[in-house]
Amino acid sequence: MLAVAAWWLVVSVFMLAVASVKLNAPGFLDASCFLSYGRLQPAALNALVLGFCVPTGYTVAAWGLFVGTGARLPRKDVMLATWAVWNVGLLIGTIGILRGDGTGIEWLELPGYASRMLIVSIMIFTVWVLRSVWRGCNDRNDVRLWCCVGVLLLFPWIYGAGLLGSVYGSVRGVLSAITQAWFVQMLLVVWGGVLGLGVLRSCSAGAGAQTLASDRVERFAFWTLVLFGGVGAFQRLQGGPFPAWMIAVGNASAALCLLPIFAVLASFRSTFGEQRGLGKFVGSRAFLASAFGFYALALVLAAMSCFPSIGRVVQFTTYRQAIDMSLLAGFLVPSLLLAVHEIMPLHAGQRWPEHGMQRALLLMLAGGALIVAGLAIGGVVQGVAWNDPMVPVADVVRRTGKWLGVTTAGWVLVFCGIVWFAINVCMLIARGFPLVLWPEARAWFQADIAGKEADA
Amino acid sequence: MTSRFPFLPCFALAVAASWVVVVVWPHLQLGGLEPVTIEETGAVYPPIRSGEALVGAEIYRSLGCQYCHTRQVRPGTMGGDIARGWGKRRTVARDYIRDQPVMLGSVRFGPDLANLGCRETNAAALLLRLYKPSAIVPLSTMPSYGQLFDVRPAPRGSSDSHNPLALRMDSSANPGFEVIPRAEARALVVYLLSLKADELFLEVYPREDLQKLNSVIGMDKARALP
Repeated sequence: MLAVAAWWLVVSVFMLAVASVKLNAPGFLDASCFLSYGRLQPAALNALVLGFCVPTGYTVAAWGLFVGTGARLPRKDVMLATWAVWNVGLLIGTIGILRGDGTGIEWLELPGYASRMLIVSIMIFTVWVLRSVWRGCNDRNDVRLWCCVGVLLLFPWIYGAGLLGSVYGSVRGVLSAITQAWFVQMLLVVWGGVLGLGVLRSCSAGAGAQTLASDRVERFAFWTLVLFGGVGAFQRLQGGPFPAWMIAVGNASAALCLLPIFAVLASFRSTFGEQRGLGKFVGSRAFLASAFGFYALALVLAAMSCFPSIGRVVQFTTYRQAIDMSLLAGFLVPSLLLAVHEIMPLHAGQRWPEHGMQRALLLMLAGGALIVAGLAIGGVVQGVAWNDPMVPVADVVRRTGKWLGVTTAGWVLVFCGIVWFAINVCMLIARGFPLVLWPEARAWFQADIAGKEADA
Repeated sequence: MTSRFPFLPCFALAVAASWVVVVVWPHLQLGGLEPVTIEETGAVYPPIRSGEALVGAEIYRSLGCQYCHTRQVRPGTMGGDIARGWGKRRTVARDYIRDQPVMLGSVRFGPDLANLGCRETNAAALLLRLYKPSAIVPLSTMPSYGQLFDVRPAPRGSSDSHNPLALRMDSSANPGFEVIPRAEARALVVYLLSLKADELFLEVYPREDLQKLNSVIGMDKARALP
């Protein structure tokens, strides 16, 4: 599952890099409508979210549940079959978007025939995992496990509700845009936030061999994030044809979303402070701090755009993309890669190649920083230019172009890092190949190796 | 985080609360919007689009035009949209009640299209913009949608095409060839020309106009009093 997810990651980031190049050089690969920006960008984003983030997030949450409860998955083939359906559906859907069958609703572009496959497979997977855990679990009151359950249950809910409210349902006009905004906000801020912060929490606590400083602070951060994160969806509608109360509520929620960030920051700071006091070196500390920093940056950027003076500049510019990419490429993807970094060696029975992963992760972080900086600063430049009626359209394009070039450079760096990461994954799988197979195959391999050793 | 706190029901409740506030409540407020009749003209707004325009909307969706162009005009106090001539007024929810799916767009790499049909009435210019955007705006980053056009040799070797559908453009660009827009290109242009959100009705009157109107009504009432 993780190897297929890594493949989707490579493909989707490559497509995003090409889409970014096309913003600067419209003549690049323009022989066919298949590769136009309007198709490549949504296909790439869907592939990144549904091909990498969701399967990896589910794997991490399910792994956490099984390890935490000590339960065993009775039939792995059911799980693998559901993910096979998921990946086939996603492949069909991605090709569908490139063919022009996309729904036209941002982040929910997968055509109906593909998204139905995804919904069915994810629901079967969720029910199967929860059923297995429920039977094998003795302590059902551990809230850490409920967090994993929440991650598993939340995605089918928001994806199903998003599709129903904006694509399948008989809604008309701006109502579908409202549902779409809710879906994106819940996906990136709440689902991604709970999942990513959970991973960072586990990694930081594991690295320092201790739990985080305050249970109450952590709980406060979790509930404020879930409560205000979703309502902040209204802020995405700023400047649009919506009643004023929606924008006001969205702005208030976006500002209140800073509360969980302060809480998590306090918790992380005290954890790292204690680690420093103990003289322990945490190898991935800079990476953890950077991933968290991107999450905090996204919420701070969103809160800043609540001010009318800033909002009027950054509406309908790449500033909003900067927030989304900070959450996705800067926070969620690196957090999940960190989880993969922790989990895969345990199952493959091998260590990662020396320094390979650190360089890959550093490249990704540097790329993420360039992407967010290019989009955010470019957004401000773009907004100032659009708001000045004396600036001609060509001038707006020229002023924005150089910042989009920075973003393109960022995507290229991220792509290099991800290719490096994927090579490491392949090496790890190749080294520990017999150990990641079914028990029967593993037993056969081990018996075969033992027989050869005996012959020798 | 280990306690006997009933986590799951509270989690479900918190997520449901955001869903009710963000999705259900606006549906209750805006779900019942209906077209209005403009008193001055008797026309129904927003108008029903023609079949060709609906096909054009599908092409617009299929090409992903909304990823570079918005279709929403902000009020004058929130940006320079009206000053740029992208509309006479801000757009409101009622403008889009006939759109399914609605393609508002979220980023402007190019101009807003909410009122393109008001400021551009020449279909040939729009076709040329689709075929070769740099012919209209030299540094345009809009890609060429040449796939929506047929390029074929001009009849009898003449440099000018006699086909009424052929694009009229600088003959040095394609000497000896004529560029004929396909049905998809023509449908897309019909859709683009149908994009108009300029009718005035109660909820879109600028506030200062409403204040003037109220003061006039107030004066009339005062005059009518004995």
